[in-house]
Amino acid sequence: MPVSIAEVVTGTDETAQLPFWELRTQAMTFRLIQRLPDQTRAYFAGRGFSKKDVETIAGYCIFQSVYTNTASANSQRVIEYDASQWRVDYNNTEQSLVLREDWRRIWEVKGVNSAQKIAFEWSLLPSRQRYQATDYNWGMTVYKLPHGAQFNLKLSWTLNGEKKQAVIKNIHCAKDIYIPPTDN
Amino acid sequence: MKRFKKIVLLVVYIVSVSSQGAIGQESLHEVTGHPTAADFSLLDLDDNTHTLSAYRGKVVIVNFWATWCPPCRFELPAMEKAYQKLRKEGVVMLGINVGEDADVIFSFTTDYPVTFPLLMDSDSKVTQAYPVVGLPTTFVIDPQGRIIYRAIGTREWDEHSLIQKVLALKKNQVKD
Repeated sequence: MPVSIAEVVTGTDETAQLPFWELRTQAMTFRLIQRLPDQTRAYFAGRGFSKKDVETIAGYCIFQSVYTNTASANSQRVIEYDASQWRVDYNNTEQSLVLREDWRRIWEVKGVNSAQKIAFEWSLLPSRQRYQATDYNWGMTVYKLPHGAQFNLKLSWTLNGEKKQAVIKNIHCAKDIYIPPTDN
Repeated sequence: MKRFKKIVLLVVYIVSVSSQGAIGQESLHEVTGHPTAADFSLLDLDDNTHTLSAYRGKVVIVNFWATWCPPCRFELPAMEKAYQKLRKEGVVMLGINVGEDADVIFSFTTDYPVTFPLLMDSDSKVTQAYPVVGLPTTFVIDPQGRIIYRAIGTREWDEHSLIQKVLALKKNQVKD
């Protein structure tokens, strides 16, 4: 599979004010924005999850993720990905992302109610997607890694049917820190 | 070799940045085969039932969204502006909320007021009947009830070119 000519840009996301890693190629961008475990706790508590289930989710390493077909409006470039093919490289071992399909099984075992399952499912980046010019999605991606872990993400996709791949290196999971309130 | 690699990366970067700038251009993608839109009956926030087939003969824009979805929030003001232009032309716009209840949606509309109907797909059954895997996703349905266009992610719906594309469906200006 050809390795795509790509670069990875890192910095602080303007909106989240948290670190991001962005893969940029000629046809697409994929940005991972760190999410603090407390953000995740607040978000899913707000969707009605029990404290125990909230802690289950917050125990994972989670990124807000934005996948974009950057082609101009009239372009015929079509990008497709299947996140089940992506690999997480951590401590010299490879693993998959924890996708919508995995979570369906997790929530089934835990007996989570339908409304919560729906909220959770739609909050995640689609496991598979097809983007035409200017299409994009936001959604969380979930990694079974400890807080503070550093990993590489091997991505693959197709551009008009041609397989591509790239690696985003040295991504950092957020640490589970407590920021005390201030008087300001 | 290293110098060549640097030049290639520079070119890629320039192309990447310039093509990102192109996101401002708006596009609706034609759906292959123009499938018939799945019919639905859903309640809006005022307990009125909206049935898609009852709008047969009109162009209908169906937007799947949720309050927690940042791009959905970003898109709503432009949708409202577009609706103000399109409603005069008889175009229907329906926002289908995925999985949230009336209280959540109602309080959300304090910050994001819209005048087009917001429907509740509480069990996401209607959403699943459409080719939606991420939010927001929007479909434009022609007067014959066929899905003609689709957009994944936000669009500036009040942009002239999009408005014209939607209005063209009233005149059946899309090839079968």
